Amino acid sequence: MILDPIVLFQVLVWGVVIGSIYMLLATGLALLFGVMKLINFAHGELMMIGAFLTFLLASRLGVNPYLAVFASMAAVGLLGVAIEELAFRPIRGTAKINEIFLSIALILILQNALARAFVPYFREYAQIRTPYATRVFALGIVNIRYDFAILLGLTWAIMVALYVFLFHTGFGRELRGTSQNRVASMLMGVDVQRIDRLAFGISAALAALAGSLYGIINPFSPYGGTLPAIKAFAVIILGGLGSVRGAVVGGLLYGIVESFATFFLGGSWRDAIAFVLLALVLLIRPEGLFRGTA
Amino acid sequence: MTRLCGTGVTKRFGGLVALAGVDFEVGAGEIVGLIGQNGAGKTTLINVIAGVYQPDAGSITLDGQPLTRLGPDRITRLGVARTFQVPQPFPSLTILENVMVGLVFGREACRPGDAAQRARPVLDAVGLAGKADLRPTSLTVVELRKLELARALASGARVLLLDEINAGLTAAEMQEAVALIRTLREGGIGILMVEHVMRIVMQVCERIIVLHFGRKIADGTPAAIAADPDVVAAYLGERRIRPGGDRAGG
Amino acid sequence: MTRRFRRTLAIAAVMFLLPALLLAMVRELFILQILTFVFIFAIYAQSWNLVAHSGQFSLGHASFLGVGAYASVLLVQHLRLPPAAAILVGALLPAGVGLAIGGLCLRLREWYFGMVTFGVTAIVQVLVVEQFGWLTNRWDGLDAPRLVPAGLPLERVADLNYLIALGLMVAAYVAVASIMNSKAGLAFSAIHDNELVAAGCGVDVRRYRLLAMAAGGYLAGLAGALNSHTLTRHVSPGIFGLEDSIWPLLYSIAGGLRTPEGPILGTLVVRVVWEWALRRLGGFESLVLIGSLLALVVIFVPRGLYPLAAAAMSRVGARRRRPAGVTPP
Repeated sequence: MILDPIVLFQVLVWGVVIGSIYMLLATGLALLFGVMKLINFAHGELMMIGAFLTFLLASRLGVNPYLAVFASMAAVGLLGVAIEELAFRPIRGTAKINEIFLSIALILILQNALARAFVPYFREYAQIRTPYATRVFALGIVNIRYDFAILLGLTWAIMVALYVFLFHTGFGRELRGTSQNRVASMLMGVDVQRIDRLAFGISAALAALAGSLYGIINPFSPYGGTLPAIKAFAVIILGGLGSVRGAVVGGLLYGIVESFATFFLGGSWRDAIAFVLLALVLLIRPEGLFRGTA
Repeated sequence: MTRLCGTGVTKRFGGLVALAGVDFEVGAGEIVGLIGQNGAGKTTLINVIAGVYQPDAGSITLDGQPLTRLGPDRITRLGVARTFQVPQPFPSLTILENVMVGLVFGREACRPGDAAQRARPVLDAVGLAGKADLRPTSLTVVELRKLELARALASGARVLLLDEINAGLTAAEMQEAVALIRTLREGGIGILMVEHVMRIVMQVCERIIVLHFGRKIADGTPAAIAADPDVVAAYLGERRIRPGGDRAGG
Repeated sequence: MTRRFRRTLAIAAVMFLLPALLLAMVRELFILQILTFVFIFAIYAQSWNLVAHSGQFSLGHASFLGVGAYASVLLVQHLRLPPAAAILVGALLPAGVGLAIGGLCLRLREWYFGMVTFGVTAIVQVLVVEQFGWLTNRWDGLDAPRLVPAGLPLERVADLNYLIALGLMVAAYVAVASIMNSKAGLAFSAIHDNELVAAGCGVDVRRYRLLAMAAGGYLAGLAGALNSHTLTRHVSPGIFGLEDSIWPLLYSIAGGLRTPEGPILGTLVVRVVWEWALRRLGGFESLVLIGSLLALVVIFVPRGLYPLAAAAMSRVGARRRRPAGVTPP
């Protein structure tokens, strides 16, 4: 095989773009795990609901998708709060495994409710159309899509905002404190239930962002969230559970590795790579590659 | 006769040396106390003997048979049983079944069909006979400790490792436990007990081992230990200054 | 013979006789088909539940279902084994897969275990399609011959399928109930509750976890093979999807986790609700309904329906045995 540097660079760019999406998903999961020691298996469904809302706003009301994203994030964030309130709160303190079962129930509910809502609009797949879909700009010898640049800018703006929120606001401090030691935070007078709602809301909103961006660069279906979410789980295991830094680095790296592996090994391996990697890491270093808390 | 014998047992966690070349012996029918401050390595030593951790150096034998490198289940089947600092019953099994686990999988390797019958006298011995069919969630802390002991006994142990079996008990309950421990060694079981309540240690143990930052600094009769200046300086003296410092062990 | 085993046999007898009687009375093909499905998937749920009993909550059970189906079909195609023998022999392959996955995941518990078993299913699918594509006909899959000899009238075929599935379900029930009541069952419970303490009591955790995975692999593979030789008559890589890994968990939770009766009751109830819903509502709505029911069960009846039903039955029984006028405490 002749390796064309231009092609390789494009594979890298794609890896960074898809990696940013994994990063957003993994960051939400890591936050949630940090605060509540909870894994929401239905994360991918929240992601796809986010994509769908952005799609509706863009295609029906003609809103610019990059603005519609924010409305979608707010709506899915609220949905996340409601899920925490109505579903996970009542089983807090029972067997850990019940949370997995409940997540699976949520997958069935959200996925199929979404699929039902999809029906009038399209058959199986949709894609969010942006005004810049065909525009590219030259970066040295390669052309980069406008959408990729905006998408990366938006992702990093949100990540910086999240960083500022976590490290420079009182609420953020309480959240990080709860993530390190829930009981101590409770004793210090922190309303941990409010922190739970907050964490769930942020996590869901990040999923909605991830989904919307995913829907801009890929055609998507109501079932499309499962695999990206599972990969994000793999990423947070690799990155050390509950570690936001691990999720950020791990998500990006994973996207790049996946992009190259798909390029070299072929498409049907794309989804299995995550698990080969995961299995290897769990065998060699079960505590993850990074260790730490938010 | 020496039942359990350790020589030069060493365990490191990263840079921390939790146990540095500790020698110890527990004879048949002997009750040996294991004392030391927080982080002295007491629970680590119990875990190393029980096979939860592998020692980095040194060897441990039971009746002359080497235990080092064996897994915790093998070690239990050879006849070393333990209790945990925090009682750890099997919540989905009844009290009787909890004890049956010890009988069936321990050194006795009792047939499951007979285990239910044989578990009853063990429950009797610790005073839980009336609760056989309940689940552990309905037991008090004292009863949970008794269950813990019953399960360990049921495994047919030749050596019993007791990790703070008296923690959280009242004075009367402690005396009950002491009486129970004393009846156990009649059968030739060797007992190594981590204990913080000095009164109990002095009362029941024939010999006491003192650990200090992973090293053994003394090993002798209660009277000799109480008089040992190193021990007084390192441990007993400290106790007077920090009476709250005798919680969870290392 | 112990009291528990006699109870198991009594339940097994009822479990076999009632549906067998039903066969004599009900002639609607679609009802027989639904029940055949229930029998087959009750075996599958039984397998998941047995593995869960040992503290291993698999989210990748479809691996076993699929490998069992492929193995059986290939045995018939290439070694000319009669399908009835092939389903029993073929299930040894998923049992081996169970050992392999179990060995890989020995250090994992709870959702780590769930995650990796789920992931492994994706890998198995790729392997079946890519690496073994020459054998498995890639995405198109393979046709599965009938379980019963060719030439029988269709109605007889349906009856035989029904009876064979029923018989195997009852056999699986007796096997699993016996395992749960045996030494292995005690070990599974101990491991389920606390692996470290179980090892401290002398339980060989690795051995029993692997045993559960191998037994689970066998039963699930058997169900997969049975399904493809009777109901679907085809096997394709779609079988390694998330949905087929979720169903057995649903059935087991609804019926009652970690009881040998639970998965059977759960499969029956969930499947009947499902068939009813499909006829009234759309497919999506039915799945939303099933998901909601699962959520309600997890939140409000975490132990499932069977313990509830059993408690109600024994209350009725107790009332009947009691002399009139005396109320239970």
